[in-house]
Amino acid sequence: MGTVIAKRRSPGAPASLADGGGIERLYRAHRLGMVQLALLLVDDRETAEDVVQEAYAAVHRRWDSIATEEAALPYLRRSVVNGARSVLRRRRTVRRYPQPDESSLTSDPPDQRVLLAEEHREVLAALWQLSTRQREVLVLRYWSELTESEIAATLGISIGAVKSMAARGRDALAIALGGAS
Amino acid sequence: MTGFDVEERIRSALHARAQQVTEADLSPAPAPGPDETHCLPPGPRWTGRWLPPLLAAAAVIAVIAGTVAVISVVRSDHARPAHSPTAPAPTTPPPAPTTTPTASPSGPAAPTSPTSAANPSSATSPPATQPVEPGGFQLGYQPLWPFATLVQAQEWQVSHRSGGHQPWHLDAGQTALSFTNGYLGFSELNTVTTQRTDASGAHIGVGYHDPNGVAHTAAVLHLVRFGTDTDSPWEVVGSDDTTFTLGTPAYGSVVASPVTVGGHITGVDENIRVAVRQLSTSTPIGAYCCLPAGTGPWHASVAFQGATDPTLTIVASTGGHLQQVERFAIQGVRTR
Repeated sequence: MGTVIAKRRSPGAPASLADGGGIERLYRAHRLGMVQLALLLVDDRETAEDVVQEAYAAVHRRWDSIATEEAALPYLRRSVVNGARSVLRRRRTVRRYPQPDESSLTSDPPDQRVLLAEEHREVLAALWQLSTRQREVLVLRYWSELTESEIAATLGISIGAVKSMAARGRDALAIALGGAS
Repeated sequence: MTGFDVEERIRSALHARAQQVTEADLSPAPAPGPDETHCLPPGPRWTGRWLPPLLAAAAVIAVIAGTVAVISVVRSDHARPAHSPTAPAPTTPPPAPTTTPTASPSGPAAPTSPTSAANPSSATSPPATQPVEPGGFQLGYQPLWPFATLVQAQEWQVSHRSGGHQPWHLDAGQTALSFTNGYLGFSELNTVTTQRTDASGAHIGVGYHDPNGVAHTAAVLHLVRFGTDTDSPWEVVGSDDTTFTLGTPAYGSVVASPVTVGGHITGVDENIRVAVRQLSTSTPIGAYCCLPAGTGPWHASVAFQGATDPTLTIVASTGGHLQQVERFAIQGVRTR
């Protein structure tokens, strides 16, 4: 059970978001993880940081309606995923580049790109061949380690759709990676 | 490769990529506070204080723009009564770009007939007879997708000017991708690989990335503006073929079922598949599969039925090594 938000904190009650410390704790505890999640979805660190800042701002704007810290994290995660999807949509619209790939890693130091093992690069390249939804499902499943119901809640889709997209995404990756080996 | 292997590879790759960003890499930024402006990235912000007046201003501008657009179109039609349209007004709206055909009915198999010399060059060129549109506008090419007539294109222009609907029509790359994904149903071809614009229009390479991240072009589509306005939408009119051509029947020629289709191919040993499509039908009205291909000329006889549109798109595709469709070519022909 999460901490109940109260405008006036009861004695002995756990810290809430509304006391000003909650958002700070949320920020300190989850900012890096959220930037990493956004990075996996937009493939660009600077953009990922922007997406996460916007997401935290959204949480802050809505904190009166977010009942608990337990609820704040899923809301934050949902904001990050939606923000990342908007970025990809804008990229497609303005044709800055047609498909995010390693060439988009402009904000990463070159040595980091080199450090990524070839086997990982293969998997990541194959991930970018999937649909945005399939990629989101796989990232939330295998990096965020969310359950199917949590993924469904984050993406606003049914559990059945999560299962279907995860299975199709895995199958597509298996074919792509099998063909590559 | 087992399912477990795939899951572990995905997990491992995602963690490796994510861990390329550490706490030390993050830009210093404070947590959102009561003054939330300091937590936002630089750039335009939409605060609650400014949003209502800005939305109101946008609404007023949209209404004015829409009114001007409607008046412009009406005046344009009235000012040119001497040019009577030969193309019928559309009775159905243009298909949505995301429409994906779900079935491919195979037309009845027709006996293969020898083809006359296949034209290896199927790059689009204006046909002898041009459909004349209202106002005397001539597209100069076969309108394959997404609009059948200038009237339809102008209807979209009015809609876009008043409400900003479907702005992708102004993006040649998006239009080419939507044609490939939605109309042709080649969902694996999801990347614009090349873009070039010249006096003849836009030439957009569409294709895919292989597992190593290398981009491959499956076809270069030729698009032109459907109209003379700066915001006239893009229309797919053909393909610029090189190593896989579709030259028979000739571009803009009148065809009947069965039609002999042919061209030239180099560098593949996969089968060639052919489909015949029309704008008003979401599935092919004719299909042929499969013609074993090797380097040299190819031809097949394709039967189709239910052709009601004046323009048809013949699509030849090949693939199967890396993915189902790796190269394709299109040809615009007429039924009357």
